Order: sequence, then C-alpha cells, then structure tokens
Amino acid sequence: MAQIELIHVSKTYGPTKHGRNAEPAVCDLSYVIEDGHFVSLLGPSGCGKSTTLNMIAGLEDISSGTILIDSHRVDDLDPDKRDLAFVFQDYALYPHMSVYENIAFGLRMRKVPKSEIETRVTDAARRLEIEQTLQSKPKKLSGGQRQRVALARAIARRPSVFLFDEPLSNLDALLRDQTRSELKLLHRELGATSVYVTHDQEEAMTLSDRIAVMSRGRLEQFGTPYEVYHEPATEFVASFVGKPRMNLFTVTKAEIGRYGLPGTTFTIDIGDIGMDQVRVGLRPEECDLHPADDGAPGHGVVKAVEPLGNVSDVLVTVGDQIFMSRVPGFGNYTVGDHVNINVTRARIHCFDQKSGTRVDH
Amino acid sequence: MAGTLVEKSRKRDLRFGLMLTAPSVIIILMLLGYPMGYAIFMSFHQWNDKLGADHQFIGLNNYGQLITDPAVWAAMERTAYFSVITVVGGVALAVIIAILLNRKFRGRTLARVLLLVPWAVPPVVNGIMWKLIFDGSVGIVNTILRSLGLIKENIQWLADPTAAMNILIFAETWKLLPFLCLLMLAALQGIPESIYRAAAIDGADAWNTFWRITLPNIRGPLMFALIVQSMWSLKVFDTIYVLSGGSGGPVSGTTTINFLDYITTFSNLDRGYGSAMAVGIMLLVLIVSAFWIFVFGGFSRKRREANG
Repeated sequence: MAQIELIHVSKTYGPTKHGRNAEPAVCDLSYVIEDGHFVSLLGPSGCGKSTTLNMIAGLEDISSGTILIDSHRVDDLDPDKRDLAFVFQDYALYPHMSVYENIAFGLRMRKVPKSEIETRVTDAARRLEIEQTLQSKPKKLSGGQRQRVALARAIARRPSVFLFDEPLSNLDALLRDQTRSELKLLHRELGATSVYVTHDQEEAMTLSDRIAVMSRGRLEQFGTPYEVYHEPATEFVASFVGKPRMNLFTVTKAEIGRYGLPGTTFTIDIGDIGMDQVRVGLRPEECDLHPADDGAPGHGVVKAVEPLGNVSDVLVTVGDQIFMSRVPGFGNYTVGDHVNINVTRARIHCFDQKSGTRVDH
Repeated sequence: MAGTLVEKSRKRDLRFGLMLTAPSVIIILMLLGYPMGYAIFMSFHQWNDKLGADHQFIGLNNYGQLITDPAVWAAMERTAYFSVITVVGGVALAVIIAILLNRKFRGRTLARVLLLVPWAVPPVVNGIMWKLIFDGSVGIVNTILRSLGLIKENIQWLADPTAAMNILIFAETWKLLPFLCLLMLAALQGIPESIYRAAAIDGADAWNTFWRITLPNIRGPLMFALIVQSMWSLKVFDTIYVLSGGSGGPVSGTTTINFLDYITTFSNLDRGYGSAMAVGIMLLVLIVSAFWIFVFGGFSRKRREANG
C-alpha cells in the first residue's frame, strides 16, 4: 500500500540546441496521492503529464523537489526499487518472449520462486482472460490482447503502485470503453494506488478518485471529478474538461449585478464582484434555448444544429461569439431561427481575465 | 472461355517475367556459373601448367591429395585461428561498440561518422598502412615502444610468423569492424526504447538486460553478421597479399587456406589441384554458414521448449 507525495517537483531538460535554457517540462508540482486512490493526470499533449509519471516511476530524474512514497524519499531509487508497475502506451511487451515469459520476467528478475511465479502468472492471466495466449508471442496477438498482457504483467508483480501511461489510446473506440470499465473493476478489486496519464477527459472522469489537470507543465487543479467539473479552478480546466466544451466569453458590467455581452441584448446575473470585465463560463447542457417572440431579434441566431440522437447541440451566433447549447432530443430549431438563451439553471463560472483563476461570486 | 483467358494472361505474365530476369540470369551464369563449372571440371583433372597441356582425367585424386596434404592442414589451422578471432572477436567487439554508439552522448554523430573511416579506406591501402606502421625499421610502433622504454631494439614484427599473423588479424579487424558495427547499430536501433524502460521497471540489471533483452532482439542481424564475416574471414586475401608482399609469409605464417590456394594456382600453376582446393573452400564456407544457422535455429528451438 502506498501514498505518493510530490513536493515542489520540477523537471527541466538541458539547454536546447540554440543554447537557451528550455522551459521547464514540469514546474513546481505539489500534491498528495492517497493510498488506494486512482488519480488521473489529465492534460493536452506536451503538458508534462507523462514526464510526471516517468518521474514517479524513476524513468526520468527530477530536476528539483522531492517524491515520497509512503514517506520515504524515492528520488534516488532505481525504478525497480520503488515497488511499482508500469503499463506503457505501446505496451512495451518483450517481442522475443512468449506471453507467459513476458508476465513472468519481472518476477524472475526479483528471484520469486518458480512455483510462486507460475501461480501468479496463471492468476493474472485468468483475471484478464488471456490464458489461451500464454504460449504465443506478442506479435501473434491483437491490440486488445497485447493490452491485456501488459496489464497482466503489471498485476502479476503485485506492486503497491500502478502507473498507466495512456494505456487505452491504441485501442479502437469500442474496446477502449470496455477496457476502461474493466480497469475500474480491477482497481476496485486490487485496491492499489494508481496513477493514470490520459488526455481524454472522459477517461479521467470515469476512472478517477482525483484528477490532476495539467497545462504547460503546471498543475491547474487537483480535485475530485465533481470539483474539476463543477468548480474548475482555472479557465483552462473549465475549457478542457467537459464535452461539449464550455461556453467561455468576456462580459462587461452593464448595471448593478448584471453583466452583458457587448453588442448584444444577452445579459447574466453574476452579482457584485467588483470587476468591470470578467470571463464567464457556461456549460452547454445547462443553457436552455427559447424561440424569440415574433419579429424580435432575440439574443442570437441559430447557426447550426448537430443532432446526436438523445440530444442536439445547437450553435447560436450571439454578437461575434458562438454560443453552444445542448437541447434534448432533436430540438425544434432550424438554421436562421432567432432564439433567446436562458441561463437560470446554469452554474455561472467566473474567471479573472488576466490570470484565468476562478472568481467566486 | 474465361479459364483460357486467365491461362493466357498468366502465361504472358510468366513470359514477361522471364524476359525481365533474363539479362541478370545470363550475366550471373557467365560471371559465376561458368568459372565455377570450369573449376569443378578442372578439379577432376591433372591440370598443371608446368607439366604441359596434357590434362588427364584423374577422378578424385586431387581431392584425395587435399585431405592428406600437410600444407593444407597447416593452412587450415591458421585459417581456423584467424577466423575464430576475427569472426567471434570481431562481431563481439562490434556489438560492444554499437551499444556504446547507441547511447546518447555529446559528439555521437561525429563518432558514428568516424567509425566509418576505416571502411572507406581501400583494403590494399589498409594493408599498406599497417605494414608501414609495423615496419621493422621505420614503423611508428617501434618508435613509440622505444620512446616509452618498453623495448631496446627494433622488433621485426612482420618477420615473425606468429606476430605477422596477429598483425594480420589486427589489420583485418580494423577493416571489418565498421560494417559489423553499422549492422549491429541498425539492429539495436530497431529495438523499441520502451522495452528497455519496461525492463528497468521489471528490475533487470545491465547484465540481464543485455542477455535477456538486447541479445535475443538482435538475433537475426547477429546471425547475418556471423555468416558474412565467416565467409570473409575464410576467404581473406588482399590484406595477406599486401602485408606479406604476396608470399603468405614469413615461413607461411600468414598463409590461410585461401592464400594457399592462390599460391598453388598462380605461383605453382597447379590449376587442377588449386581448383579442388577452391571447391573445398566453397564447401567449407557452406558448412560454416550452415553451422551458424543451426546454432541460431537450435537456440530458438531450445527457448521455445524452455517456455513450453
């Protein structure tokens, strides 16, 4: 069992070819991954989430700061001394070994007795339903099977920490959803601390106890999926988490407590926050549309309708902004309709224009 | 109807294919098949140009002589010594150098380019270069050893049969390393980086990583390197020719089997016997190649059984 603690962890790669010092790949991360938690590191590519994972694993050195596992400093320990297993994006199976040998290799290297190895390998293979493939080489397996072998290899080690580096990104959509559910069950069964890197916010939301949202090497927010979704700490988190993307625009103070989108009749009630201008975020599924009165211009004009079956995304041009609303069913809107936007049931997220941090109101 | 149409077009394709390959087949037959056939033909005859133009058919006599000739066995011994060191040592050295060149370090590209230099040197120039370096009176080796106080008088390196053979091995290894290194480097680069990371997580130390991850994954190229280097080592000629001044000496010290064949055929003009020897060398090359394939094939079979 393990608790992982990151204290002011930074990573800077050496000077670039042009002699300048590179921007830090990871900058001043501090958070605690509780024992048994499933934590996702979420962010766009290049945000430093894989680097962070590699630093926890010991595959990359840290430039400054400290990583503790169960209150023990591990910065200087080799990867194999940290009692963790790693599932790689490309699975990293040993091509020249059979599936059995692939799973057993880590145990052999740790001098686990032969009979114990056999028990553990068959147990892991049984859990992941790959018993029939034990004698095959990885080359002969499908992508999904290789994925399972990689998972089995991690499980057979029985480590106190599991690290996942985008393990589902090489699977097709259907298999990905299925494996995602299985991962969740597996985590519940094994209860080991897991750190999971992904750029897919849906994966992060469904799997995690906590999500660490990262951008450009910095931690944007560390919180439960609920917090990340409903109380995004920064504008970046607000825009990155949630599908469809949150409507984000700048509003200007119109009258006391009300802010409006310049050049439109659209206003919202934020309350007095003592700012002339503020960035506002509204989730599309929390915004309702109503047809404007006959002849009235309304807040905006329908630009496009994207039906998804159970819901439809309606794009509305409001001033020079595109506003999206998710309406039930196929909706009754056609392009060119004048509509009013009703945000009474929406949570209104406010962000500072310059810093992008959340403004409470 | 349709069947015949398909048949017709297939025939046409076949004819066209044969036509396309014909030029190269003809060239290969002329350049390889004819001399080989001629050599085999000669090997069954008493065909010594010093004894006149009467070429008697003598069956397998030349081959019989081959087996009992002490000069042949002495040359075979030297060939074995030379080949084992250049093949096994050369390939092992190539693997080590390739592993070093595969690491990230400052100036790696330059090192990789420099590695190719000996390969760019023509074999004869390479031979002359080492001959000058080890020259008894003006060679740099003697000069260096003397100034270091390791020797008092110049050593006639190339006048001693054993020393000459070792210098030959050194010069040949120098020449063959770049190619082998390149081959091994390419093989190493074909191993995905991530499995090394997986091995690090799995707790494999450097030794285990090399034997259990690196080596099995370069098995194919390794076998190829061993086979081609075996062929080259068994057939070594030019460096011997240059180092020994065409004599294979001193006292036959650098006369490997291929060089003995050259002396037999072109100095002694015994072309019948020389041809028999050439055929023998060809068989030897085939046997050694088959040996490597067997070793590597057996290796993989044993692994499969161990896994089963």
